[in-house]
Amino acid sequence: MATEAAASSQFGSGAAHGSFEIISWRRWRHWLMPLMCLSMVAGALLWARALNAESASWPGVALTQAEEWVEALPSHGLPAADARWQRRNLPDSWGASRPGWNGTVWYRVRFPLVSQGEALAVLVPRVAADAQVYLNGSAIGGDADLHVAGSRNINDPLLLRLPTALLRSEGNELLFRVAGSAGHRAGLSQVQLAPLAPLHDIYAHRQFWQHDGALISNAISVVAGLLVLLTWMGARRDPLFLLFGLATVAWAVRNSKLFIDALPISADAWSALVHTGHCWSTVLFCLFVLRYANVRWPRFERLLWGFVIVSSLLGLGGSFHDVRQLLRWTILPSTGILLVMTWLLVRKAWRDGSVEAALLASTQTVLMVLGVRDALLIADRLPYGSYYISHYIGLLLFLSIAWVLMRRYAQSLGALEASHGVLQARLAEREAQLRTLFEREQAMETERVTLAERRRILSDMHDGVGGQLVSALHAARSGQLDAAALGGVIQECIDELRLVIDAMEPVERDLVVLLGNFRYRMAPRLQAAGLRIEWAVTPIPDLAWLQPTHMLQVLRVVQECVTNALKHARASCIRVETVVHLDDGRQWVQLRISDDGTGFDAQAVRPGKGLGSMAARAAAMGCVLTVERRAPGTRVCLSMPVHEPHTGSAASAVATLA
Amino acid sequence: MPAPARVFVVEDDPHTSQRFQNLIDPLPDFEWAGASATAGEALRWLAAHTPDVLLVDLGLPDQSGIDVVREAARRHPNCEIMVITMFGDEAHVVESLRAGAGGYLLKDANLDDLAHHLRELRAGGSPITPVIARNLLKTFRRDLAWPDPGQWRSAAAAPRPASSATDLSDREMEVLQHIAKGFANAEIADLLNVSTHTVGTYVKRIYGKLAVNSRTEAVYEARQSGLINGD
Repeated sequence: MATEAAASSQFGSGAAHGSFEIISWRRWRHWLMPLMCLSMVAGALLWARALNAESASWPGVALTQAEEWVEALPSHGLPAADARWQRRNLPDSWGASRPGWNGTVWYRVRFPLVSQGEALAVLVPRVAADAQVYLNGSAIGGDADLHVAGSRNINDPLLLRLPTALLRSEGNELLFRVAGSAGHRAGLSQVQLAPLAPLHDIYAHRQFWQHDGALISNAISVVAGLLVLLTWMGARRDPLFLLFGLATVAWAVRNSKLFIDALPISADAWSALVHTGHCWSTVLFCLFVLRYANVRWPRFERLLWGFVIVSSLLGLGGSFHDVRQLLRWTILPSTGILLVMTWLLVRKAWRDGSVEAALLASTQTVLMVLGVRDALLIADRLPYGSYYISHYIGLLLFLSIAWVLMRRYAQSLGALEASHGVLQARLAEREAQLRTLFEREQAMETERVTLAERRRILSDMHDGVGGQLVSALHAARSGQLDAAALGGVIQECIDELRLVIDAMEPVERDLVVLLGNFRYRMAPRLQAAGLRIEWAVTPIPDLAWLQPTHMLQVLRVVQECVTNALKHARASCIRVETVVHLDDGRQWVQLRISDDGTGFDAQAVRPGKGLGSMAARAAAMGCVLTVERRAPGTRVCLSMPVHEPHTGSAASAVATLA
Repeated sequence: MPAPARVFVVEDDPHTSQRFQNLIDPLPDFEWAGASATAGEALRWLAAHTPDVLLVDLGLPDQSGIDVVREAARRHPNCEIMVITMFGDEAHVVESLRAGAGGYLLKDANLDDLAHHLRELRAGGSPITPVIARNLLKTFRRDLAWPDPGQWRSAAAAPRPASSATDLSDREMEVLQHIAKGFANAEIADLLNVSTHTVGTYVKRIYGKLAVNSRTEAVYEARQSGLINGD
């Protein structure tokens, strides 16, 4: 008892320990998502903060004091000398200083020569949409031609080398001609004046993160999206794949504003397209999240569809001319939708506790945070010279989703393969069962055949040799027979035994060989009795139905004829021949045994013997036995059909012809 | 007058053995060399003596009579070997023919004409039944196809023996076919325009080829299984 108790307690503690481990992992893994969220959001906020303050660490001086002159009528020259310049500190965002304005504004920045002998340059982190720059009255560069409608370098930093020849020691003047519209968040950022070399590094850095990086991240997103889309087209089962693929394409359209400078269509139309892409990517992605989180909100979905259709129609119809309108109609609702999606993903991640859900939730949270940051940037709540970064998190999010989806796909393939394997295993099992069944059946069949064969042999022995031996024994005991007669009776027994054995020879229904063997056995006796044999046996067609038992019957007929010819008919010649003939449309093989004796001994009635019983047996196997009395002699004909005989239906008779 | 042929009998039934002796003793051209009741005894005797005629019962108590036939044929190629058999034992007869026997005696037949059988055998004629003929036809047809040429090519140093030595000639085939149809030797002789004796020698030659073939087969099989090294 004691040991039992100890054992059970040991077992109990072991079980408790195991379940404790499981519970603890289940409990702790839910904290994976919040941890990831917190760390990633913290990282994103630090990044955004660093971006806000990045210009403080730049070399040289930031030129912020400037003057502006609004060009009322478009012209190609520099501002006239009597232009009325007004103070305007940089950065100057038109959205704040002149909402709704479309046109050209000149900026004049004056600066002293800060250092000599070194190549100088100015960096303009942001100027939108396009600018041309003049130093002391000479053009030194800028974006593309301002008068080309399709040009819009809103997201490119500008680095301008200041030619030494144009520089003066005092009173240098930079002129910026900026063309923009209310729809593009136009304006001019601060102008950083510094030696060319360090400034170039900063320019390259900005150019990468603002322009090239956006292009690369967008390309990766599109490839991931197209892959998922192609996967969906291969097997249209999971709508998640379709929604995600379409969302990435819309997302790519939305981000194209960051790096496409030479527009194929008008700037306004392009702008409308970009914002439509933004709305669609948000809505499609939200639909994706709803399905991913297994949430059925039909009303909310209708709302989403309503929003995306209305905003697309308004945007593409050219209703939005101003960043503020866009903020109100597309960016704010999108941010709301983003919030819902974030909440759904966070909730799912908390419930599932899986790594993939945690990854999606935390990247989505960061995307939302940075989305808000970019919205603040658009709303001029952040430094004008800063740039958009949310698309980088979008890339991370999309890659995570693509990973999740591909894993799903692989899992479903794996499940398919597993079920295929199970199917094959079942098939093999069934096959094995069938084989066993077949083998058993075959064994039974073999046994059945053996049994039937044994029965047949027994009955053949019993009918023939057995009966003969019993009557021979009886005759010998009763003293009725002398030695010669007894020898004759035993000879008959041996003859009968020979027939039974010969009929069993594995000669494949070769009746001719069996007849030949019979003749061979009888030959010495026939010769001794002075009986001549005429052998006219010819090859006959294969009698497919012929079984050993039928062979025995045929041999018995021949033996009966020979015995009769030897003993009773006192014949001198016996003729055996085979004939193939057509009768009644059927092919027959006829075995004819004729002698020149005195005919059959009618009194010779022996059990199972005699021509009468043989005719009956012949009829039973579908053959016809006829006995023809001739002068002199007898002819016995056994007609056997070549093809399957209609057992029993064939005419059976002992035709006795005069 | 040539020396009488020495006859040795391997038979486990003493009555049958005695009958043989009674039948052979009076024959001037045959001489009773002795008898043994077991295969072991016979094999020992054969190691020391060379009979002219050997009669072997197949159903011996210690070993198959076919082993005795094989050993005698190997050791004494000039000895005439006959197996003593019951009817319906054709498969065993063919087996002993392959082992080198040249004829057989039916146990149940009237043994009074034993002298006739022995003389025929000595004179070069062998008995045959239709069933045996059929069996041989099948065997030789199979032998013609055996072994397939690819097998021979792959088995180096095992070329197929010259076909003339082992394949049946057309005439021999014809004889076998007639026998299988039940024709007697005399009838066949008429059909083929030869003497009855010639038909008997055909049969004996066929038996010889059968034995050669079966020996070649055994050698081939031994080579295949690596018992003998190709030389």
